[in-house]
Amino acid sequence: MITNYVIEPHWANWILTLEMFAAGLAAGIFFFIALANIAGDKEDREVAARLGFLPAPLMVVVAVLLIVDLGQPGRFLNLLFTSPIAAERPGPFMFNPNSPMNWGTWIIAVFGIMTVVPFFDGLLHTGRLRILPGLVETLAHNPVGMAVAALFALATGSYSGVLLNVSNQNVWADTYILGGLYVVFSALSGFAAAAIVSDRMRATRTAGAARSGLLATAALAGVLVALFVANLSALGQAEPLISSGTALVAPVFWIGVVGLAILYPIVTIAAGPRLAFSRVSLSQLAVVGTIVLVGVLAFRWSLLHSALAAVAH
Amino acid sequence: MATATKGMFVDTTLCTGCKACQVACKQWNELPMDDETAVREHRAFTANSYDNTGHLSASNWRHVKFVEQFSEDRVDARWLMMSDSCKHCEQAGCLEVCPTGALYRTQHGSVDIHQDVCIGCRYCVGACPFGVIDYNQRTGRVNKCILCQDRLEDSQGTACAKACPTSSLTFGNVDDLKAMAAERVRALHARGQTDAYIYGWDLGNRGTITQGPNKGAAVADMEVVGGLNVFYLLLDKPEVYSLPSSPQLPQRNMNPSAGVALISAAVLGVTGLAAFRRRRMEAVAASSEVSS
Ligand code: SF4
Ligand code: SF4
Ligand code: SF4
Repeated sequence: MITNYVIEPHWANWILTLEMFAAGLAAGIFFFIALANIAGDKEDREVAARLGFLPAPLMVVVAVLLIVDLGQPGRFLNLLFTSPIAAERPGPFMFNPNSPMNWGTWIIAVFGIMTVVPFFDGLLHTGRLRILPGLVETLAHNPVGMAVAALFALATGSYSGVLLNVSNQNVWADTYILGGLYVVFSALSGFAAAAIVSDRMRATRTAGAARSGLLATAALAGVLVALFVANLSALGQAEPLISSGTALVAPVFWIGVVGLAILYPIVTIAAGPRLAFSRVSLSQLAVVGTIVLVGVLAFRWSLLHSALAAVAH
Repeated sequence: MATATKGMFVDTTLCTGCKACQVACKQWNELPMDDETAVREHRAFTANSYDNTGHLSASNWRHVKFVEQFSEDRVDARWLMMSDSCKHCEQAGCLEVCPTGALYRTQHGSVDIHQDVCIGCRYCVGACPFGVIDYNQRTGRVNKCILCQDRLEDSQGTACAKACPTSSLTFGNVDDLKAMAAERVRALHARGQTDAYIYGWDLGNRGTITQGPNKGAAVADMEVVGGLNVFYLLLDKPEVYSLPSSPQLPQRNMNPSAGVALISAAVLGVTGLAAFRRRRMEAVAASSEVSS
């Protein structure tokens, strides 16, 4: 009988899976945009401007999914501002440093506002709308500003992993790798999206950077997943990832996460033709990107459902 | 104004499983049935001894557990009963993680919920080490025992303790209750019931289990999560009562997890910049190839 853990079945659902996927993707894409603006060339910035259309709508999707999940949009303000009813808490702003959900609320709020900059930069670059062009240009291409924005993007990618760690649920509670895993899978989805958009724009040079980023991030994800499984095995809690019965967590984890998100890009990119200039296979990279996105979705789903699978076991 | 911390001492040796406490809790707090139709259609039978709710939930803030133990030849038997609820922990995991301030510490030291502030995020549900607090599908918020906050404000004790006919539940100042519990364990040990110990505070008692499958195992008082303001006198290992043997605060991994995330983010930053830089170097190499 498992008595040191509790069961919270309400977290294992598709709404939260998609919410975490969308937030991670927005953060990963923003991370790529920041890199392109800090270290890229003209073509990279063109691709970054197109990618800039994605984070803001994705964050709107995140907000809508959260509202659907909680069903109480008005009360979201209680996460940011201290309710007059909660008179025990000091100050007008709600901040509980022990709660990763509160950290996440503030991080997401700031990041959500930041996503407006690349969105307007995209409008500017495509000539669709010119709102304060000087300001948008400065904000979107200033390396220091972009570095700060990249930090918020990475924090957005990681906080939900830390949030799951700070619980008393099976699988999540006794490891401390989830924050790292979540930020790496978030970046992986960003590079995957960049690979797809580079293909659409026939931007071969940017595709080279997306390819290198995909390879390095998939390798890093592989290291962290190995550490995660080893850590859980040492704790005697790896069972749901090995055979989770009807919960399907184990096959989704090994095929989706390990197979599609990690091994497939490593093998395809390392063994495939070099994506540089005349030897580019852009469409192949776009396929890799699409499959990696499916793998990242599998990651979100299997991690959320693993705690429940441990109980069902 | 803060007053002396209030709580309850649950002496399981005195519990007869009458469930007067469960009924009193339901009645005072006007808690609905979980599934009225199931009861009407005789589908609500748990088949687990006399247990009728199975566990604590948003509408069952008190739950009487029944544990039946038999020797292998089924000659010896004993029945353990325990009335369970929120422990109003000194370090409450639920309260620690609540992002809205909905969960709060009252002037009596108990843990209560501002229903109008709760957003139903369920973070507290996954954080409570005892699986106490529960999501209420009807209201979209969470519920648990609130130590009869309204009665306490009127200088009354809890409804369950008031209803208990055997004094298995005693309400009072936690310091007085601890003294009472220490005295009770000493008296039981003196009578040969050496398996009695306290779950929630370490009052210095040590013993050996005298009956059941764990016969002969050592037991000792346990202070858990900084102490429980609703604490228990048990006769067997905590797991036997479905209590965690080693309850932990959810924040134990917060700093290491954030640290691993930071290191991973730093590696991502370096490799990301290297991906662009490498591509630039490839461009230089390719252009020099073309020119030569
Ligand atoms: S038992 Fe659970 S719900 Fe009750 S105070 Fe402790 S952590 Fe909170
Ligand atoms: S469900 Fe309500 S009480 Fe629980 S953590 Fe969320 S806001 Fe706080
Ligand atoms: S009222 Fe007292 S004796 Fe009856 S079940 Fe509750 S705790 Fe046990």
